[in-house]
Amino acid sequence: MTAGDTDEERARWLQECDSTHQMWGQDDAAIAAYINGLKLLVLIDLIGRIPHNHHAVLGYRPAPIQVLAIYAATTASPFIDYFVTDRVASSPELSHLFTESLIVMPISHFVNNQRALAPVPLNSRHSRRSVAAAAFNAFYKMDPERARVWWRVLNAVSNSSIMFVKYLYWKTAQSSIVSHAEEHNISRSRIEFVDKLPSFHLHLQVYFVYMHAVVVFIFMPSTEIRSFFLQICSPFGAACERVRRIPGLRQVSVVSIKTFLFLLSAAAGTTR
Amino acid sequence: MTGGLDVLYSGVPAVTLPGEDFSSRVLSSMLVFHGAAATVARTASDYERLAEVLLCSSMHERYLAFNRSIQKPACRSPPRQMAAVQRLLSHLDKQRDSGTLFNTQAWVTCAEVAMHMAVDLRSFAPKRLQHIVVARGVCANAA
Repeated sequence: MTAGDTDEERARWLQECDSTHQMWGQDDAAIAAYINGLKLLVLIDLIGRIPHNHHAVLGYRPAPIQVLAIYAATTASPFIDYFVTDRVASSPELSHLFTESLIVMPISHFVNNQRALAPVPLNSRHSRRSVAAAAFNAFYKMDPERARVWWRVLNAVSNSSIMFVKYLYWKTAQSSIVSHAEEHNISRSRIEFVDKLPSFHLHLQVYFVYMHAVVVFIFMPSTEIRSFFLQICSPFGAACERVRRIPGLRQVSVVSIKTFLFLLSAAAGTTR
Repeated sequence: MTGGLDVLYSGVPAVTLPGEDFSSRVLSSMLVFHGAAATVARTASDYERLAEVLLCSSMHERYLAFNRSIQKPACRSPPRQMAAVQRLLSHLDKQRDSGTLFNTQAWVTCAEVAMHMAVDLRSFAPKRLQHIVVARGVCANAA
């Protein structure tokens, strides 16, 4: 947890952990000594080299077995013993890309708690009436080769458009993307740049900054989407907010967490 | 990565072209273990075709839903592909409740087995780390 977490987030963490330890304000060596005193057999790092994670704590070897899970790449840290993955995300042939030994899970390595967070299915399959394509990649991850694929898709599908989120340096990116698109017979009117939502309005808990460069989401905006987190800027929310303004689409809504919980309970009473 | 997860949890298809590095294969992993490997592209042209089929199918469905009162989409996607997309959407809906991708307990069970194996391996061969492969059976009950 960090000082920036909301009371709600903190309460959820506390509820789901057997015990927690207050480490704020201590340096890496002190934290390592404290962990060592707990006499753990296995220490799992859930964030890796993300800034302010205190990854260096593990450099002191506070536990005999140190594991990395969820983080999106090898740490190249000699003090991390194992990397949790699965046979698709890193097949045995790709093990040379890791400094860690691999723990290969029989199911997807990507642990999540979606069912508990949103227990009522967001089901509106029968009401699909529209379509949008969106590329939520950070601009530095895009390249002309990927973009040409997108333009070919747009050219093949009439009346389609593509959305980008206004990440850092979006104006420069917009200029480059639009001119590149026009070279491939895509008019600028088919390219949307959408704002991020205010921090208290969002749809799905999403940090897209680590999104893979060649992922394109093909999603149907009439799919019912409800927000369930506070204070996370969501490109998803931005896209949905934009889509919401399209005439004929009323399924997508931005709601506060209070309203969301009310909708969940209402839906639970009517759909199940 | 969590974006891909949210997309799938919403029952929405996603297309990806995996690379070599881990970060470029996460969505592939989710799709394969979600029973939706059909939308993992092998090449850029395959990726292009998949995206086009999904978009066209949806647009054509919209055209029919509006009782043909809107402009007919000029798509090359034949009807049989639309049926395949419908099956995919139906599958994604079912997987949300019954698949392993969103089964937290199954993941935890597998991870606990893996950690026990790591501890055992260390006691047998403390100087030499080896890869650990968890068999599907050990967490099958939870899954």
